Amino acid sequence: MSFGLTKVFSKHGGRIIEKWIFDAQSPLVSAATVAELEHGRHSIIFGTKDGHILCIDEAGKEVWRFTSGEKLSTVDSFFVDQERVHSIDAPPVVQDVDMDGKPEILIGTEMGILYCLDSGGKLKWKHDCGSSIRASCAVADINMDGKPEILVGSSNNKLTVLTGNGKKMFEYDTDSPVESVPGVLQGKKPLIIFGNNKGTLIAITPAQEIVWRVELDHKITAAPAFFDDPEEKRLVIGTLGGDLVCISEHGEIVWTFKTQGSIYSAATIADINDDRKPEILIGSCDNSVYAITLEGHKIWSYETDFWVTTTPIVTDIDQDGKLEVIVGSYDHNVYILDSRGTYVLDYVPGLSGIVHQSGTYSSIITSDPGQQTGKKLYQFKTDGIVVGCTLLPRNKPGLIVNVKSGHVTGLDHQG
Amino acid sequence: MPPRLVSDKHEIKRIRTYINGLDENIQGGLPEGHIALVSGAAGTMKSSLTFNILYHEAVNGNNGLYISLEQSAESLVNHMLNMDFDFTKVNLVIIKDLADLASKLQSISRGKGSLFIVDIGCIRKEIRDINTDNNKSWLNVIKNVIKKVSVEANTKLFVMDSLSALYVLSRFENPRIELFMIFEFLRDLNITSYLISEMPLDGSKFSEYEIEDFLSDAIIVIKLTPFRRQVVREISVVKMRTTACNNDIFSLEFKNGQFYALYGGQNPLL
Repeated sequence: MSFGLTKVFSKHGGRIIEKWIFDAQSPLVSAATVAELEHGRHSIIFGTKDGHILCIDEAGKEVWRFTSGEKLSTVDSFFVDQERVHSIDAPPVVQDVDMDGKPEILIGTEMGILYCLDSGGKLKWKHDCGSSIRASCAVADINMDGKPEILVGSSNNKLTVLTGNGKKMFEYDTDSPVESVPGVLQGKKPLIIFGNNKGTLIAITPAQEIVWRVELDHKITAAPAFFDDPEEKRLVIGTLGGDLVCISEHGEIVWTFKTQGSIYSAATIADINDDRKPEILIGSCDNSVYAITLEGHKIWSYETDFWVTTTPIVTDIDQDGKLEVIVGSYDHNVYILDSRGTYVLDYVPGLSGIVHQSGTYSSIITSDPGQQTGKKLYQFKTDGIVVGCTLLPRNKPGLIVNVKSGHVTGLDHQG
Repeated sequence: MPPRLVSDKHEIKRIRTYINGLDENIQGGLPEGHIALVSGAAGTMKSSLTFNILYHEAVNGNNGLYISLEQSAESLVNHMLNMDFDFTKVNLVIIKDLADLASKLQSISRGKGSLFIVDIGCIRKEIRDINTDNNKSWLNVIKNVIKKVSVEANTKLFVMDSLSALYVLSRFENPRIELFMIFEFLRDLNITSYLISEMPLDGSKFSEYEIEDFLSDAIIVIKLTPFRRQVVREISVVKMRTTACNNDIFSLEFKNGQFYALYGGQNPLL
C-alpha cells in the first residue's frame, strides 16, 4: 500500500539503472564523446590512460580500438612519466573535417600526437605537435573558406592550426603551455580564444594578430562557453583559482562569480527554467554545481561530497517534460538535479526551535526567509571517481559515465 | 605495493642503520618501506652513513640503489674504499648510461647482493644537449630508474644523494604537491628510502622547503659540533614513525670500518 502511494504521489518516479558496463582495462581520465559514426547509430568513443582509443556501441560492445604504438628510444623513455606517457587526457572530437561526408575522430595524446581516424578506427593522418596535448581540439572555419580548420593547444607553448587534412597552417606562440580547449567566437570575423597555464585568456585573429589579452591569474583548462547578450557576444570561462569570469567579445571583464574550488571544465549554457533566457551551469572543486544567471547571480547550488570536474549536462532524462542537470562527482556518484532547484525556508514557523520574542528585532522577519537551492532527484553510485558524463541523445536520453577505474557505464532512467 | 596493515608490532620488519649503539635505541632500525630524511651540513658523513647501510644490506644479500646526482660514482667508490669497504663481498654495479641499465640489471650475479650506483651527474653530462628542456624530465629519470631497479632487480632499499641537488635539477613549481607525489611514489613502491638533505650550517632547518620534515617517516640529523678544540659529529633521531626511539644526541664515530653512536644523552668523554 505504501509503495503504491509513493508511486502515485512521487513527483519524479522511477530510478536510474545501469544498462551495461564496459571495462576498458585501463584507467580513464576523461569523458567519452557520443557521435553518429554511422547514420542512425550512436557510437561512444573515448581514450584511455594507456593510450588506446576505443569505440563501443550503444549496448556497450567494443566496435574497434586504435592503438597509437608510438615508440620511444631507451634513453628517451627514461625522461617521461611512464605512467602517463601514452595517456589520452581529453575527449575526442568527432566531425567531418576533410569534407568527405563522413565524420572523423580527432584525439590528442600525452606524447603530443594529434590523430585523425576514420569512422572505422583507421588512421587517416597524424600530426606531431611536439609536446603533450591535454585538452580536446576545436574545429571551426576560421578563415571563412567554407572548410573547417583544427585548433589544438600543447605543452610547448603552442597553439597549432591545421587544415582538415592535417597540414599545418600556423603555430602561434602562447607564452605558456595550453591545456585548455580553444574556442572560436563567430562574429563578423572569427576570433580564436584560448587560455594558457599562466592564466591569460588570449584572443587572436586567424591572421595571428592579437586582439586582446585578459589576465585571469590562474591556470585555465576549460573551454570558453559563448552566449549572446542583447548588445554583444560574451563568453564565460572558469579558472583553477575558482573564478567563473564573464568576458565581452571586446575583452572586458563583465562580472566574476567566485567559487571556493578550481573550475576545470567548461560551463553549460542552457535555459533551465523556461524563462526564454539561458542560464549558466558550472561544476567546481568546492564540491558544488552552480546555476547562475547570465548576469552572474547565483540561482541555486548543490553540494556533492567531493569535486565536480565534469561539464554539467542539461536534458530531460526522466521524460517528465522538465529538464534535469546532471553532473558526476569525485565522490563516485552521478547526480541528477531538478534544473529549477527548490526553495528551502531557513525558518519554518511552528517547526523551528527558534521562538521570536515580541519587541525584539530579528533579521529573519525582514529578510528573505529562505533560499533557492539545488534539489537532487536521482543519484547513481559508480565504482570510482567520475571523470566524465556524456549524454546519449536518443528519443529517450541515456547517460555514458566514465569512471577512473576504467569502467564505462551506460545509464538509463527506468519507470 | 604500499605497506600492509600489521596485526602485531613484531610483524614490523626493520632495516638496520648499521650504527652500533643507535639501532638498539630505535627498536632495531628503520621500519621497512619508510622514508627517512638524513639531514646534515657538509662533512657530516651523510653519504658515507647511508652508503654504509646499503653496503651491509648487500653483504647480507639484499640489493640497494644509490642515486648520486652530483658526486661521481668513482669519487664515491674511492671514498668508500678508503674507509676499508670490501667490494668483493657485493656486486657493485655502476650505471653511467641509461641505455645500459636494462642489460646491467639482467647480467647481475644472483649469488651476492647488488649495490647499484646510478651516476646521474655523468648521465647529465653525456646527454646535456638533449632532453633538458623540460624541468620535469630529470625527476622522471630518477623515478623511472628507481622503479626499474626496484621491480626488475627486487631492490627494496634506496638512497637519494641528495634532495637538495634534485631541487636544483627539477625546479619544482609547486613543492608541496610535487614532493607529496614523490613521497607517495616511493611509498607505493614500498622501498625503504634514505633521502639526503643538505642542512644549512646554522642547523636552522632540516630540509629546503620544510615540508619534507612532515612528509618523511623519520628524520636523522647529523651535526658538526665544536668541543674544546675538536669538532665532533653528533647524530640524533628527531622522529621515527612506528618506533619507540631514543631522541638523545649521540656522538657519531667511524672506527675500524664501523659506525658508532656513543654517549647518548651524556657528555662525550674526550
